[in-house]
Amino acid sequence: MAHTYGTDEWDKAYQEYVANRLASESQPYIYFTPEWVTLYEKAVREDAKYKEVAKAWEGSVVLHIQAKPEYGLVQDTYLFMDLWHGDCKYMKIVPSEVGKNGDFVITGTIDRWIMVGKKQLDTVKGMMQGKLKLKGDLPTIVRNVQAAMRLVDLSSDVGGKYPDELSPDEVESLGKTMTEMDEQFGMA
Amino acid sequence: MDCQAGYAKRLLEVNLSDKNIRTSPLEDKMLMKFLGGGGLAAQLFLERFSPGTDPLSPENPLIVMTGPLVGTRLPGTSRFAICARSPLTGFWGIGTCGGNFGPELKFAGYDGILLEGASEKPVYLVVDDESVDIQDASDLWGKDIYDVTDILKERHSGTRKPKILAIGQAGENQVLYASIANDKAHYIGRTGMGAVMGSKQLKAIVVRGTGKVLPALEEKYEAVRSSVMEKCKSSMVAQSLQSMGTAAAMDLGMMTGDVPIRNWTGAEFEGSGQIGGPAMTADYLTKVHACYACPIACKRVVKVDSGPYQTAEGPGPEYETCCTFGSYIENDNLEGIIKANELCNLYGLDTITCGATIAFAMECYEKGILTAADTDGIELKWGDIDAALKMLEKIATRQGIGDILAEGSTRAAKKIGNGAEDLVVAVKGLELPAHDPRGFHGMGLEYAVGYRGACHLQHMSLYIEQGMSSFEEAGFKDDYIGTESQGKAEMVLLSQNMGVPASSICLCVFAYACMDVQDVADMIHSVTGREFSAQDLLDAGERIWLLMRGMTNLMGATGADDRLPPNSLIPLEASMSAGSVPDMDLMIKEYYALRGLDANGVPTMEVLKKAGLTALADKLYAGK
Repeated sequence: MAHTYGTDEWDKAYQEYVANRLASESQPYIYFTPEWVTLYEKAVREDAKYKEVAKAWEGSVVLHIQAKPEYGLVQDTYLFMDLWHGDCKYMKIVPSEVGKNGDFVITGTIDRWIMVGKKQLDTVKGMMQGKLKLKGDLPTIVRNVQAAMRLVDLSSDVGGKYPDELSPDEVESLGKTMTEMDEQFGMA
Repeated sequence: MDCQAGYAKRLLEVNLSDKNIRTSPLEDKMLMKFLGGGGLAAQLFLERFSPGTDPLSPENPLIVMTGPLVGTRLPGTSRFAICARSPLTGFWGIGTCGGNFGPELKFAGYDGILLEGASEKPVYLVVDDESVDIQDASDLWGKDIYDVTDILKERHSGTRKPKILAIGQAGENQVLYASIANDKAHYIGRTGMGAVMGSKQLKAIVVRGTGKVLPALEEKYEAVRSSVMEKCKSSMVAQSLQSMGTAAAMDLGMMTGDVPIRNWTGAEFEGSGQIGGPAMTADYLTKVHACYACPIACKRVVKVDSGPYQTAEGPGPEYETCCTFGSYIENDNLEGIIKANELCNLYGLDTITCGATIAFAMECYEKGILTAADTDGIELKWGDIDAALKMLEKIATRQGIGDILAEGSTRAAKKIGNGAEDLVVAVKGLELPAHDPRGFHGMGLEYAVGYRGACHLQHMSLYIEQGMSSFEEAGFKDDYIGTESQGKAEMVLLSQNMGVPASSICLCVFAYACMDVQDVADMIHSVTGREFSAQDLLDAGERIWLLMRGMTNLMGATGADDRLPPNSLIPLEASMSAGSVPDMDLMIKEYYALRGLDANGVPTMEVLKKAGLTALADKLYAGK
């Protein structure tokens, strides 16, 4: 039985889960796994440039990564970022019904997100061309486009292992991890 | 009269000198070869008029032309073109706009109107289905565009209000970049077609029609319409335009080095965030407005409630206007820009050339080439929107130095002298629109080789090079790096062949940016009933581009005119283009070879004949 999102129990269990993953996994972490998210969160929190360009930003941003079982992504992933006036309050993987209701939700296939990470796809161009889908107030994104671009740059700078680079064993392991998270945290 | 299979197949011809009015047939072969709009107008001009005609003389025709899709319910097909020899550039002049005039003209049963001669006194033309009449406009002469449009709508209201084309005082005064307005909200600004209309003493055209535009293949039409409507609604480009208008490009453009600053010499402009689409939406937008049958609705309706820049509720400034009266002159006061836009609309002035010419004058003033003694005491200092507004009024009324600046920056510089020529930012006499070739080298090539001068609309390079649309199925690369020149000649050529037909079938480039080339071909096929493939569209694009380029060559342009102005080639290290400058020699050399232009920039006999342009070839190579 999964914990209920929004309760102290869920938060505590999630923190423990992430701590265990950090202790057991070695770097480079796989993109969009909970342990990778901690590195990304730290990078955003410590980035002076982000603080400057995002000082007017208000609202949560969710990166929605669509499932691709061949890479071990057996279900959709929602990376929730609570951002406010240049600060990052928290980042975590959240259940789908929570992620879908973020203020700004950017959806793409994992292959598109890998292209973004490798700087082969500009996020704004990707959204204009329909390669990434945005749900949320577009004028707010445009007004804060520098903050959005900095967020993307930081995700790339953090580094990590892309899901299309995994060995068959790693693909299987990632699939199990996602299933395990779903069982504990109700991600699907 | 209904238009069967997309065309009325007839042209309304009006001679304003002898008041003769007649209709003439448009042959199928000509329609399918040149489609409509600019292509058809150019062929008509070539066949019947002299390229050497004085642009402001009665001998220069003014041709209003629609396309086969105009008047259908397909998205983005409300546009029309107005063409003549340009008084601003001396070359082939063409302006296009959306609105509702084009569809109404089709409903009245005409594909276009050819206006010849000139009236001895002010007149306006009334087209009410089969009834066509020239009426006295003495009481309208001297009135601004909003007033004359309101008066004529009321005067000819009948069962249904008519659609209006009108000029303002700038057109009457033959300001060389005077615009023509459709129902106050849509403007044909580029290349000075309003001055040609003014030279004919034609104040307005009133049109009302009761017919329909009927597609030949009803089922196919409904299917393709459903498909492209969905694409337009779901496209982020369309959503961006709907939520913020074209001025959204200000905020995004600052990230890519696209926004020109300080008459193209500046690298940074902190005020950009205050004059773009989000700011306009948040503080001044009252509603959005759409052209006929368009689901995108990019037009802004704005109002400044009070203060020195108070305006009536009316059309808001486009991105280009936010630049020319904003970043070009380092003005970060959006209310001032909205006021400038309103004044340009009322007088009937192209906001690009007007703002760009004022920016040019400001740089002249900074360098001491112009002084307050020349400007009737107006201190033309950077950032001073009040000075710009005063200058705008002088231009519209040709008062003082406004009489010189009313000629556009190229001609004004020749009169001013003392190095002013070096500060002009124009190609072939047409001021650059607000997309910086240092950030996007392909756009620089487009500007240089464009048949009407520096142009951002008669092709699709803007969308492709900036990555708003990819059109990979048409043969474009997945991604282009703006600050690279390699490979851009090929991109530009293809984008022209793909985009030029849009100004002939009269399709909006914003709608086009949401579709595939195949969709456009399918739309033409379903409406006309003719087999029409994506390759046919590209072939038509090549043919029409060569035709209009050849027209401009006949009017005197050579390869020496295919050059960017000095200010646009200054490396700007601090800008987002990081000191990048387009390699024009490389791109032009590659482009000429691909396009089939000779060393003088003229299409070769071989390439013209291959494109089926024998009449043009005969004129270009007469006596050779």
